Amino acid sequence: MVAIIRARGDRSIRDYIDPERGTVSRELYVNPDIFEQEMEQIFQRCWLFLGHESQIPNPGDFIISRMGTEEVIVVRDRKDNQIRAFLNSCRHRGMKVVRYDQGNALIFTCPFHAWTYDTTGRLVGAGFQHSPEAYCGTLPKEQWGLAEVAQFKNFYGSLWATWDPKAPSFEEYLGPFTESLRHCLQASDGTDAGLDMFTPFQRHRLPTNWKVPGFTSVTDLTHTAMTHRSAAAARLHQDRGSKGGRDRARQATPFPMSKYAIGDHNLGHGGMCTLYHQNGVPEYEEEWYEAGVDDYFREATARKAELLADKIMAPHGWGGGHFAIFPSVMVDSWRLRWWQPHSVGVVERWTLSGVDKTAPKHVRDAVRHYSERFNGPVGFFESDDMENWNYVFPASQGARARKLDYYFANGKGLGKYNDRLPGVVFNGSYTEEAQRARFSRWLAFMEAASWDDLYPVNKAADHRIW
Amino acid sequence: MVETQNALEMVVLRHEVEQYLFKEARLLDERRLEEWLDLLAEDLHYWMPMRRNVKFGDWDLEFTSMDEEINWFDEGKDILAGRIRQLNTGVHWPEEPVSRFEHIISNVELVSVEGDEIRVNSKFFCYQNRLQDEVNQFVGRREDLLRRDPDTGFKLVFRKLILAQNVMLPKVLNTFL
Amino acid sequence: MTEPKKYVLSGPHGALTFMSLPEGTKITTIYGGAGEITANPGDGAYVLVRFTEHQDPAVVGTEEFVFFNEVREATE
Ligand code: FES
Ligand SMILES: [Fe+2]
Repeated sequence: MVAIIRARGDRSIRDYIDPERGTVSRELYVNPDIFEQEMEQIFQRCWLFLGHESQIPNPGDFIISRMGTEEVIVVRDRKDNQIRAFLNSCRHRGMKVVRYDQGNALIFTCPFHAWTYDTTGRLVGAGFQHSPEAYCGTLPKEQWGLAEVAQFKNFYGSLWATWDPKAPSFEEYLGPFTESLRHCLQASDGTDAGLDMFTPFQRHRLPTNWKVPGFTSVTDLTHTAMTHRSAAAARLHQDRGSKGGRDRARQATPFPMSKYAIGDHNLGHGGMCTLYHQNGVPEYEEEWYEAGVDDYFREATARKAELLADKIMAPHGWGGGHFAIFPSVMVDSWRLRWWQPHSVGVVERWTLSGVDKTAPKHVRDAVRHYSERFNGPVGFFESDDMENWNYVFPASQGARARKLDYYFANGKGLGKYNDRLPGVVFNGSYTEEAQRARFSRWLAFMEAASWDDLYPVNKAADHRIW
Repeated sequence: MVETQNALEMVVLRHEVEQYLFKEARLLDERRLEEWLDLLAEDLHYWMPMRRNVKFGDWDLEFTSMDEEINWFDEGKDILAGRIRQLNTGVHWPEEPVSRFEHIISNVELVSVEGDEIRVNSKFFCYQNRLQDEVNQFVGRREDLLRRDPDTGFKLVFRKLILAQNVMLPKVLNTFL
Repeated sequence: MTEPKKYVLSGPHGALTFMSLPEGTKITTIYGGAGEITANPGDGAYVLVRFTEHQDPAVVGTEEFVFFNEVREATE
């Protein structure tokens, strides 16, 4: 165990969390040194979400994405059609090579001294490379390609990468959540990799620490009643699920399932979870405001029910519930939302919403419109969240405020392991189990010298602190 | 340029249109949101695309497509009415306590007149000040289609909002532009 | 027979002209190379050229990205 941070009173980093009381020091959210350490120890090591293959369907197509505070170019190669990701920083003197949000490229040319890279990241030219008054043809181009991610994974259409060659495979990193993520990337009829994502990324800034929303949202049912009271009070009939409640009540024999808050303390993933106790899928519940859309999803659900006739559906978030992949990706069955840290007090929220690849236009439109009106800075729901997540930061940052702790003990000690998802702690759906799991994993990363100390590369590691 | 009308009629029309646009802005600033809603046609289409950084000349890629892509707003009066119901609950936290908004409308330019329908361009500068020191600014252009209306003078039928932002820098956009 | 068209690559429209040089355009370089454009990335900086003559004989018959200020002439 390596204690890295020596800040304010020389407490080692473990001292910032009190598992007995169930508290976390606010210092962890407001201290710029901690932030720098997180970028090094967490965002350089973890598998991070980059985007979706449907955003770059053609050879040469690229998008700019981010990994933590840094931009990456995600590009589909012209020759082998493979998708790769590179740091968006010129190897010559570090200029941002690509300044377009998306496009189709043969090469990426730096606007500074014209070093240029092909879609496999190779340096294939430089201004004056042949000039007898400059490089004289001596530039070792093969050594100066763009910095490529250490590992890349296309997981059922979703694109992930890590900078760390020692990181475990993506599936090992997901652990028991592998099937859940796969499920969420299926079309509503159960077809694998069944989603098209609407372009572009929806992106907006929020002045707060990335962990405020990143570790709290999707695993925080106790916030809903108060934070989102206005959405409920306004009876936004455009909300999905507002019809569903009535439908559910009419169901003669409700589908047997149980809902929990879950957290994997070794892996850090967790959130809301529904365990299904019977083969097949629950009866479709009407939930769409736009005409004809329920008909489409009812039929798709029927096809999915056939597909899963002899199978229990993978556990996943339900309705308004979601789960998160460490460090900061929130997953629903039609949408990925994630938090990109910028600095200790600024985070950027990115969203990608998907729809069945084969959905007809009226369904595509309904899903898109729903996503537009519910997500992000103009979203009915998320605008409420933004206010709370924002003002946590200034109100926690002061010399007095930062000496206090946050309370994370809701449901502490009441969780139980469950064979359905080995290693995962199941707790009441309104508990903070998933948030505690995130901090168990956070501490492990912050203390680890390398992936050798971390589960699952180190199979014996037990990161659970509470 | 509008050539079908004589010059005096155009000055009068321009004045009427300006009065409508200025009233709209004032109702928003005075938090008379339901009265603002009354200025909108039942078949309104309210659209604010996102804007990409694109290569010189690829201007058709700059705005997100109304039909296929994610926009900031792409909705009708029914959804706007829902937003206003939410703003008027008293518990919509990003507007509780309410902001001080000032909408400034300028560069009003008549584009065309066809029967009852008038195309008009304008610019907006919306200053938001809330709590002690939170400031957000929304600046951009609009391309509107207005329809003559016996009660309100005009009704807004279509509005394209061209916001000068790529990543949305304010955390919330909780007014109308 | 009319003279083949020579592209004007300097002046205010030079970069835009260079960006849109079509495949098949004949290129000579300031180093004495010659060849034909096989692809134009449209970045205003480079064109991909298949060389028939080159200061480095190994490059003849292969493609290389040529920087705009190494182009002596571009002709139709
Ligand atoms: S920094 Fe990119 S070419 Fe010099
Ligand atoms: Fe929320």
